[in-house]
Amino acid sequence: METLGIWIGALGTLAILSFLFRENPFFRTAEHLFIGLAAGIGIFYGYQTIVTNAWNPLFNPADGEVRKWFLIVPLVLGVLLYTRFLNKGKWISRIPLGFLVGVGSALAIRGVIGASFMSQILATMQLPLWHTMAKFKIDSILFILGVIGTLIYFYFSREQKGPLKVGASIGKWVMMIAFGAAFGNTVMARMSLLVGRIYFLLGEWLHIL
Amino acid sequence: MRREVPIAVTFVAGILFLLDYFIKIPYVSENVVGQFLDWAIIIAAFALILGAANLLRIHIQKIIKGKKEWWNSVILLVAMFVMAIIPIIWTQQNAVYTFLFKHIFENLNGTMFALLAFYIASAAYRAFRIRTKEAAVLLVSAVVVMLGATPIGAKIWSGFPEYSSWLQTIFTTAGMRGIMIGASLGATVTALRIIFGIDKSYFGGQ
Repeated sequence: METLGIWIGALGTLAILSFLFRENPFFRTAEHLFIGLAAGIGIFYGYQTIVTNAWNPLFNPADGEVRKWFLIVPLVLGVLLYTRFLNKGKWISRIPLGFLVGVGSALAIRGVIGASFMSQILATMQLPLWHTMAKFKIDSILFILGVIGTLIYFYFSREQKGPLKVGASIGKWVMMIAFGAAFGNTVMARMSLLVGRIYFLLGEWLHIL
Repeated sequence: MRREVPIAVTFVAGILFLLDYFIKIPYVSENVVGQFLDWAIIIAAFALILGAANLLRIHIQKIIKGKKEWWNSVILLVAMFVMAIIPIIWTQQNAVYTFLFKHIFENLNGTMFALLAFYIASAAYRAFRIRTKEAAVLLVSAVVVMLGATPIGAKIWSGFPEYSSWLQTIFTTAGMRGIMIGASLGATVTALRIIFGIDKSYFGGQ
């Protein structure tokens, strides 16, 4: 069974890698199989979430637990999503969608105010200016200049000239270094996945390695 | 009615959930607004299955109409049903489910992402052609980080791992922090526009 699995995995791997040559029927079959499996896993996790978080607490509460009647609301809203398959009642599916978007938007504000906005500013302001962050004594100054420069680069309410132009220029160079480093990391991550696949093909499948 | 009700629901859900972050109202906060996130997770689970239902609809149509390569749609639907039904009826530890997950899904998933290595190499060729000073800086930074993360980099020059770490600690963090602060302002404004019904693009063109 294990050998069969390795053969199927290897043939699937080759079918997907064949896309590098050009799009072909083998790739399309492997692609459909992959999407089907992923969608199946998605359905299961969706089902499990509904049963665990809504159905059981509402209809089958555990011993000693109070029945959560309010959960009827998300269950009804969830079912209303499927009205988009109706011709006349299609608009009703916008109600649960509106709820999702409303809560999602509020959640985004709640999240960014603390973690992405205030905490980031505070962490930058609290840095000692003459402090070895990584290697050199001026690292903290470089860091703070980088953050401020990046912010200035995206400030479009005034024409960027004079000090604003200098700040924006610093921001541009810092971002170029940052994007280069991020790109390098992404390349390494993808390469490590590719190496993993080659190890699988040459090691587990062909036993060359 | 068709637009007003969903907009009102968005406003009420959004504003209550946002206010709950700052003000706690006894009973309401705990039993209703405090549960909004759980409710959203449940509705999102329904939406996930809705996506699969849409996939089902499209591929059944392809099979019925006998469109080109309809057998791929059969493969997709069989794979979808098997992967969904087995863990629902039995468990995720079921031998067939484990076999499909470990030997097919994991391999295909890994290869799909590994395929991007080739595209990223082609993108790198275009991005790193030194035509401007900015591209040169991008190239140097990426090369230092890549060499810093590989054993051959340390063999060439022992400073690569150290300078790679330095670049990432100082410049990557600073650049990303600046972008994050700016993006969080943008996200807040966009979210407020949605809650107050100014931005209705999420309804689509219906």
